[in-house]
Amino acid sequence: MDRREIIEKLKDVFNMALNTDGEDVQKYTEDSNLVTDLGLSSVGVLYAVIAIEEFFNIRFDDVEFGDFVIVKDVIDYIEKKVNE
Amino acid sequence: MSSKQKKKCKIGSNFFYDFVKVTAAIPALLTFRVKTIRENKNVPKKIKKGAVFAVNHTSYLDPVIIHCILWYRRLNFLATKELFNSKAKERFFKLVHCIPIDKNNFNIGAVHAVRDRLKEEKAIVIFPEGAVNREQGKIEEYKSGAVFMAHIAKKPLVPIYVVKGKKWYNRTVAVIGEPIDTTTICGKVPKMEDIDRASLYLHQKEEELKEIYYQRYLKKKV
Repeated sequence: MDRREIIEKLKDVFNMALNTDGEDVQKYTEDSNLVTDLGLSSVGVLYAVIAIEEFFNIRFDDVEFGDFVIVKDVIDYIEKKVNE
Repeated sequence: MSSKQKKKCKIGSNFFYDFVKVTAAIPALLTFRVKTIRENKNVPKKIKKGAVFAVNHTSYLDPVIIHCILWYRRLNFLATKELFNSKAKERFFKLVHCIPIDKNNFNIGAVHAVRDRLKEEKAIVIFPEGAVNREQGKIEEYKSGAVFMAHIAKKPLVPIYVVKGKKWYNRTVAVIGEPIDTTTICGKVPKMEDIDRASLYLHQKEEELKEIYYQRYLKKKV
């Protein structure tokens, strides 16, 4: 799975985890901040993580909130896990 | 850890849990003398499969009271990680099946632990208010964690309303609500707003259970 595919799938995940419509998600870039730009709440982040696990068929290690600041961190982590 | 070691660890953990439960049973039953009311006939007498029990939080003794209500099964509690602040406490709380959760930070380890235990048909108890609420009769706003956990594990959510007696001689009363299938409220692939809506529904349900407590228990006594 390449990076572009990951980004596309991730948009679906964020669309679910955020209380926004699909158009808003298209605006986010790899440098968008998860909390300030996307407005993810703590449960929203958990929900996104669980959705990512199901979408990409991976399991997150015991990561903490500080490990992911921007969207790029999430993409990098997924890319690493998918290609493991 | 090998499967043999895991099994041994599980037996040890259950032995300690059961020991604590049996030791505390008589004083707890005598102190609280819990009266259980079922919302309607659809509430099973014993909920033996995996489920999330959402309970209002009025005192630090609530876990003991909930053990009196759901005496027939082992329970797993979500507890704030501050309770695990020393080696001895950490060991004790883990042996009595508590799962540490950080209220200020997202914690995927706890979510995995809850999901895995629910898939093993175990019971999880959550206090959706997030902290002890000292205001008698008022239910604080519910956080979305309980609905979220039940939904990701596809298990029913059981609301319970507990009223601890004001005086030592008053009985503690628990009203058990009908199990809620979260997918009927938020759909199979919900958005976060659907989860929030289901949490509001859960809160309303608790208010209804409170009403049942007034109607069926307090009025009878008067």
